[in-house]
Amino acid sequence: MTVYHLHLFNDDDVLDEEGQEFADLDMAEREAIRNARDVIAEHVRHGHPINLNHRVEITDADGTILKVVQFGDCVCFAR
Amino acid sequence: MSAHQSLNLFVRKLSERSCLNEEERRAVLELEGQEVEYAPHRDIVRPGELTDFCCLIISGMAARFGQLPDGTRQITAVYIPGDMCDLYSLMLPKVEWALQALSSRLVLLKVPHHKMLHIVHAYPAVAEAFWRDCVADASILSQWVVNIGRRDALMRTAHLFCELGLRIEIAGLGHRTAFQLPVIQSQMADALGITPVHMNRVIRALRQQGLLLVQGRDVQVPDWNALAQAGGFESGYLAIDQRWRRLD
Repeated sequence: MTVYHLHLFNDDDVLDEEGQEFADLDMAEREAIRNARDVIAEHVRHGHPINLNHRVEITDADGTILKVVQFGDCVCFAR
Repeated sequence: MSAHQSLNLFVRKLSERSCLNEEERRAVLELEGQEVEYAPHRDIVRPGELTDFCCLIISGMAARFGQLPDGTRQITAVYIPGDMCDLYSLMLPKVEWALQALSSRLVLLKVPHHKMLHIVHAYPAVAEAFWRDCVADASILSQWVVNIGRRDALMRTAHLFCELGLRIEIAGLGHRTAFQLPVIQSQMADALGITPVHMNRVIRALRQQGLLLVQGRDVQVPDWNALAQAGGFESGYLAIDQRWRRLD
């Protein structure tokens, strides 16, 4: 297990100082998508706008960015 | 904390809700069991496992949880020192929910069911106090359901920090405005029914409003009444005082 940090860059920047353990980067990315969707869902519930460029950055313990998950990659819209 | 101090806390908690005389209090205080230390996140009782003991927390924190077939968990209760976390197991030794260690160092006193049953049979007032403790547990669970079902992420986070602070204060382990919470963020999020990133966002928002400061395991509440208001927290569900009423 490796510690990854999931930092949120939303209407406010929220750094993940503690980090979480995942088996690999793929698992961390899946979790980042799930977390981003949860934040988006709260925006939807409150009727707040969703900026599709907002993102979750996955870093290692040294702060190196390993992956960026944008809100736009986490939702799809249909009409 | 020692097993004796923890039993003292348990008896004090029972006595705040139920009328127990000196002999009955002593019977609970003299309960014996096995002291066991658990590694963080380890399961104490697995879902569906048959148990023959109750767990009193000596130090650290534990949680009750439910689990889906894919392994994801929802924490449905948090226990602190002095809590007998599965008193219900005396009546229901095999349940589909389970107990896990939360903190980095959890020490339990595992009290065999037959010893618990012995004092329950000898002292009906102890049975009454145990029953009321289970009712108090159900009262908290009921609030948690309202929290998850009806309060938004900010309200439910504020509510949980109010509840834990107050319970820690009542147990004499800290103050509602400054206490230690030896729980990692993903577990705290599991208890709130939100993801860790979302929870961190909420905690930051509460910090910007001057309501809550979480630094590692240290929690500070600069304005407790304001946090309680933000969470719609009313403490009545924790105070089940029926000392005036003894049924036997």
